[in-house]
Amino acid sequence: MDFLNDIPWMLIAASIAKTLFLIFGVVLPIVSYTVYAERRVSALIQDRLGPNRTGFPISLFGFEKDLQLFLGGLGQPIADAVKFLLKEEFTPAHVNKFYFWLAPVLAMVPALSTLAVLPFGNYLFGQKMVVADVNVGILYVFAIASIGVYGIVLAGWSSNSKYPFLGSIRASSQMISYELSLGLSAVPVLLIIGNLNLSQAIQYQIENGWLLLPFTDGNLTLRELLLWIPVLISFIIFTISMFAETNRLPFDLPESETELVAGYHTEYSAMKFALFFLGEYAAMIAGSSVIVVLFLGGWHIPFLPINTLESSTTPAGIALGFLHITAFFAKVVGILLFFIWVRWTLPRFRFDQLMKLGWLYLFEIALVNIFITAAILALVK
Amino acid sequence: MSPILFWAFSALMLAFGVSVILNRDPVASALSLVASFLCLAALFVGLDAFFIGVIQVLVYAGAVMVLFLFIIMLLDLKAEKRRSFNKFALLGGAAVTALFVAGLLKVISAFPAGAKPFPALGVASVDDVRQVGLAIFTRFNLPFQTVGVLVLVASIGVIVLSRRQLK
Amino acid sequence: MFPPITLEILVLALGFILLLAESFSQSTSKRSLAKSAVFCLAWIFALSFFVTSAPANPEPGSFWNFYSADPVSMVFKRIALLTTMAVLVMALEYEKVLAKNIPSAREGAGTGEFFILPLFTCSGLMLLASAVDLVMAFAALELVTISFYVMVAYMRGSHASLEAGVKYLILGALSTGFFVYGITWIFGLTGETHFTKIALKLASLQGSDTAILFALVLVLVGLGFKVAAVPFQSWVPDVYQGAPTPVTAFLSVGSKAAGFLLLLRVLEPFLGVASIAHKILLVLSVLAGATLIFGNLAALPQNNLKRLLAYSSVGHAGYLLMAVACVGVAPSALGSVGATVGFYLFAYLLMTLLSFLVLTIATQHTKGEEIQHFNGLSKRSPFLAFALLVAMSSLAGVPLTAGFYGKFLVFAQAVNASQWTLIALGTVTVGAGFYFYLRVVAAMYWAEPADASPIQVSGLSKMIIVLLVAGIFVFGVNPKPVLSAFQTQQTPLASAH
Repeated sequence: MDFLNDIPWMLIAASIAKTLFLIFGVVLPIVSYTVYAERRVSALIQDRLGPNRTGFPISLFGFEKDLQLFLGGLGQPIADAVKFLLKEEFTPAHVNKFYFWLAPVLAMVPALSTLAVLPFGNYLFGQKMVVADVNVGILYVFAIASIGVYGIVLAGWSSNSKYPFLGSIRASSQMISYELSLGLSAVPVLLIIGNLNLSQAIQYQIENGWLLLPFTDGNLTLRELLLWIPVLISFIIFTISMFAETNRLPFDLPESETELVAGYHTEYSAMKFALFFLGEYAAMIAGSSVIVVLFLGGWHIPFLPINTLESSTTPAGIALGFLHITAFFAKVVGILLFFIWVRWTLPRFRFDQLMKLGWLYLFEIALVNIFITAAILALVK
Repeated sequence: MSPILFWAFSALMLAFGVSVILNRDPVASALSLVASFLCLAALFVGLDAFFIGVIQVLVYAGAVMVLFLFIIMLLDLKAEKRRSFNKFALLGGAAVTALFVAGLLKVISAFPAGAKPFPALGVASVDDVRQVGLAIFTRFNLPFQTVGVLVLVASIGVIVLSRRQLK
Repeated sequence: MFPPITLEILVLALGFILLLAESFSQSTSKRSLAKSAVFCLAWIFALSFFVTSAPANPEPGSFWNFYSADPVSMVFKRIALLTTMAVLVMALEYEKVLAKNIPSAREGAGTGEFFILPLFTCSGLMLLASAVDLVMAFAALELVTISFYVMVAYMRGSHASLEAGVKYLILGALSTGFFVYGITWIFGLTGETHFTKIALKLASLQGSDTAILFALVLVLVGLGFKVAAVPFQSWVPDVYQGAPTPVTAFLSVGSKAAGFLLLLRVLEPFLGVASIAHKILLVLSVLAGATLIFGNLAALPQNNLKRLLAYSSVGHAGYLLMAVACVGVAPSALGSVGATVGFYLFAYLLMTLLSFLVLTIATQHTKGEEIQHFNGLSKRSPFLAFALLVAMSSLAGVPLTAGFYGKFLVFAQAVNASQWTLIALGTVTVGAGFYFYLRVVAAMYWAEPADASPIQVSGLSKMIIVLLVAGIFVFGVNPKPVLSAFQTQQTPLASAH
């Protein structure tokens, strides 16, 4: 049993702990409260109230009333989750069973897997707050995200009915098209940083200022100012492509309820549907996290010097560690709110407009942007 | 790379590879191929070749095979499922494979370098993405440019051969 | 004087410019594209005589590690240029048939790329001629092959063309797989991809004979597909018959020349390993024998002229392989074999291009490619009939033609190497060749035409035909200029040593 000694048990244990913390401690709560926020914000925008009644069900434990915090309705996600779990797990007779069951899994797993390379904090308990600090980080994100298409394609195909199929065709062609501009718009950033590792990307931004806000390191050079232009273009294209990748309005044609019932998950119900739902929101969080890491300095808090104390296990270090994790997810939540805001503000594109935007504009602009960045990097020292 | 992981992923890759051929349902074949690619990527990662592993997923599993699957679904190849194996083709294929594997085994067994373990690779001073980039843009620039022309020709071909009406 | 790689760059630039012109010009006629391409290629051909030679000791990172400019590769480059020009002229003649078979919005639309793709093939062939590294050779070979996939299937209104495209694509991909697998074995054995370095490493590799042979056999399988050697020839008849005729001509000349040049280059390091050289020669002899027999005997019952030429292409691959199999165990013999193969390929180019050019022009009036459609061609166009007569005689090996001298050189090599079995086979197959080639001649001269209306030939085509006919006679009588071009250098690789 020699080989058992070779296995780095400590590393595995730490990775599992980090994964569990990230998924169950942070991402899934954010997902459920993003859904809640979506409903409340949309209500706000449309001058309604939204779900404001469901409290935490402490009346189950003998209390007089459910606990209502802040604006109320904060128990809504819990009620939703219970509903999804308790609903009948219905499989229509006309579907291709194996793939019908496989599809939601394939939609959910890649979305969560992308989180593995995202540095969501600096140090906590002396551990680096990233599950896998690989040197191809951003490529890994794109690669795993591209696997996510299978869930949608299979869902539409295995449902054996026309609306899901149309939805899945739209979804996959849209995702494949926008992957190009997504990847290309990230290239200028990578050129500037000179590394594909996401931790290094944050390190660069700590030293030179966030890419989107280059003055966060306290000074602004000519080079940074010039590079600001391509970075801004990159940011805009990246964000727009991210909307298309996650099938969010104004690009939610795959599930445009007015024409396709519910798109690829028309035939799904209960937990299988919930998995699609989770997958979609997890993909949103992953996308927002990438935006935060590439453009907004990741977990870095401007003008707060990085303390060596943090990599230790002293209380102060732990507090700092949590502060940085909070900073990271605060930025992510900010982007998520932006997603929601856009969703309830802009109308839906037509499919040919969507394709035209992706192939004829974003793709070309992203391509030219790479050359501009390269030229600035080469000419301005 | 841990030997357990190596054997596990190799076995899975081969199993999925066989399933590509044996499955009568084209969708199942395509998905097996995807799974096979993913296992191959895992093997690359196990060899510290992160870049190639990730590109394997990004390009083959994430882009090429999605389009394959797409087309298979659009064509709705029900007839393929009903087709049974042709005995002679099966026998012939098995015979050729057996011959090839036998030849390969004979070659490997007679190969002195195959008997000793491969020396451990040195730790690279720069990361593998940078190394791939350097190799492509400096030393292998001419072949790389040639491949660029090749890709152009291929894309012209795709457009010419697939447009409904040429203008 | 300028570096030789400028030639490839010029050809590619020409291709890009024409592509852009094709996309953005308002002109509906695509013919001017082909004409300007021919014109510019002629200039590039002329420029090819004014290039500098390779540096003696290239720097480690420079492209000279992949690229050589020895005289042999220069000759092959010129051959590629000439072939492309002839193919483009043929394509011009073929335009009407082509336009009929592609779904186009209006008359002649969509034919532009057909005139431009050959330029990319040409650049691939030229790069291949210079490749002295397996990586480069593979990239160039794939550039050639992929452009052929597109061109073979170009007439997608025609069922035969599509079928040919699919067959060629699948078998071509398979052969590429073998070729790459062979390259990985070679790289695994030697750690090198440069031919010279491979030769050095192989010579010092002890006790790995089986592995070396295995690697070479895999590469041979891959190249066997390209040169259409038996048993890897099964794609040839259908693809040749289904493809647009100019593409068939290009395929039979370009693909074959590329394959044999690469074969010689790859073989050289391996023949240096004394312990396996005789085994390699045995494999080559078996391939040559099988190819000779199959190509020539299967051509006997063919009635379709394109299919006949396809089998004839297999047969000629047999003669070429016969020459290669006579290389002997000493690598020094490679020089004269190289010259023989080079001359044979050159002669083959002349006569094949001539027959396909005549075929292209004539079939538009005869409405068919069967031999009976050529009945009485001499009465309809004595000029075309005579040209085809010359081509067929040369293919068969009638004395005073380039084809005859090529065969003579091959047999001389075989006698030197005492390959008596191959000589016997070769003699029989030459006899068979006379029968099926001269059947075409008989149909043209001794049968009555079904429709006696005369056939007009355009000026450009007439000029090319006259040049090709003249070439066949001139180099048949006086082969020195071509032979010396190949012999100035001992082997394709000697300069790299």
